[in-house]
Amino acid sequence: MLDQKVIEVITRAQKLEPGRVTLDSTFEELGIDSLDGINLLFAFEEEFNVNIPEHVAQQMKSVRQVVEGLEGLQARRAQQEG
Amino acid sequence: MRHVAITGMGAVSALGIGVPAFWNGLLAARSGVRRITLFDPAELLVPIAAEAPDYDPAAHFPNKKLDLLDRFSQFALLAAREALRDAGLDSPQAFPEAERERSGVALGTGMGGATTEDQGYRAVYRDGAPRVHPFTIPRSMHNAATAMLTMDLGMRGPALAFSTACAAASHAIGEAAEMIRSGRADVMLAGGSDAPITFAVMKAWEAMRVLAPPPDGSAARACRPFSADRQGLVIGEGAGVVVLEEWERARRRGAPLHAELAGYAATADAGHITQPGVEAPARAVCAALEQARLAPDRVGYVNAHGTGTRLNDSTETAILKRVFGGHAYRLAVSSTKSMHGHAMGASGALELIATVLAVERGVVPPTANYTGPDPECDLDYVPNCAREIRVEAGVSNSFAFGGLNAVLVVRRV
Repeated sequence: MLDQKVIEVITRAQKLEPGRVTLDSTFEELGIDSLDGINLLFAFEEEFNVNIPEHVAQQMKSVRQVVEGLEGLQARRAQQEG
Repeated sequence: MRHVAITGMGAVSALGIGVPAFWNGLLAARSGVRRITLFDPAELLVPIAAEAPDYDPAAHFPNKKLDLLDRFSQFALLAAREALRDAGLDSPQAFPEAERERSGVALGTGMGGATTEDQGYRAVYRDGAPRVHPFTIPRSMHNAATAMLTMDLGMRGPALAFSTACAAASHAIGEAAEMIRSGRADVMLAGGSDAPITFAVMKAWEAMRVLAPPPDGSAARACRPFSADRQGLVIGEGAGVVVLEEWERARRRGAPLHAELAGYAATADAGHITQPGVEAPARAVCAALEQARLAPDRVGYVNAHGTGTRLNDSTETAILKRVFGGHAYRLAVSSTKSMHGHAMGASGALELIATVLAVERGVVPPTANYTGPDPECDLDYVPNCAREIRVEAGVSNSFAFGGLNAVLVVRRV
């Protein structure tokens, strides 16, 4: 569920053709440079209504790492709210 | 002594995209002023502007590239590509890598990425958004258009942005010419761009009480420079870019020589932040003519700053009389702002292009919407109809808020 949403956001923000992005894609393979990376973080924050702190952002170099990072942030938030 | 040729021109304005649309509009005395469509202008006292008509960014740039291009950078890129094409420098064969290292960019802007800033402020102040778009800075910085031109066209020599309000493009073009004269560059893309038609910027201009209201709802007739019943200026947008090239280089490669950029001077009033002076602008015209080695009576056409405000037009008339004496009455003087509006940092470039074409083609563009003489504006303003006259030299005036003046002189080839 989250996987698909992340792939959608990356595809949209990077203007990539549908199907190009998979869970195993790395940012490097997708041609995502540092400025694109900042743009993506903004798109994730907007889409998932989270703040991505710098130490988490630095771990996001592939689609899978993004999903894991977001899962971690969401779990922490659920814990705090619970 | 190195001389400077103008070998290419490009324009985006309220008269359309491209120099042909611009020039045909001017010759037809067609006004590009209309009700604002970029946003709902219902809450503006003066809901009109000179917008680039039917402009669709997606028709000119791929989506991904647009992410980094504020409207003012888009206009600059379109004008620069046209100018380079016109100069025959749009291929690697005609303009090899090594030559691009001696080629630079000088662009003026008054407001920079105003649309982008507007969106960012709206998000944080009005909508309470926790964050703004991360490209807000690279899109809105005043040197964004300059940088985009260097990247798009591979210009790798000196590249600078000029921000002198309404004279920015003229300063950029003049200083670029000086770079060629001094040997620092061989080719310069020079001009200016602005896209200041946002709600907040229009509100700020509204507060200055200088915007011309549309008479009887007719937006097209709002800007009436030098007329007795003139009521102010109309904000415009667009870009103008020219290719400046060292004369001998241009001749050797058989480039189109539109005109010689023969003179430039810049002065400061050191007086008042908005009220124009007479002495310093007059001194700028004289110094530019001196650099061009032209006696004042050789000048046939002046493209006036001509904003359409009460004060600018009477002051500019006094300036021209001080410089040209009796010859002032024999000059053809026109304000093309009556048609393309006051495009701020693009104005000086659009008006230089109008001046070059007047000299090159022997037709001077009119002052549109002229309704009748003011005792304080008693020169020949080429009212409402373009006129065929052979012009040996033309002058383009730009007098910015802040009292910063730039004057360019072009000579017929």
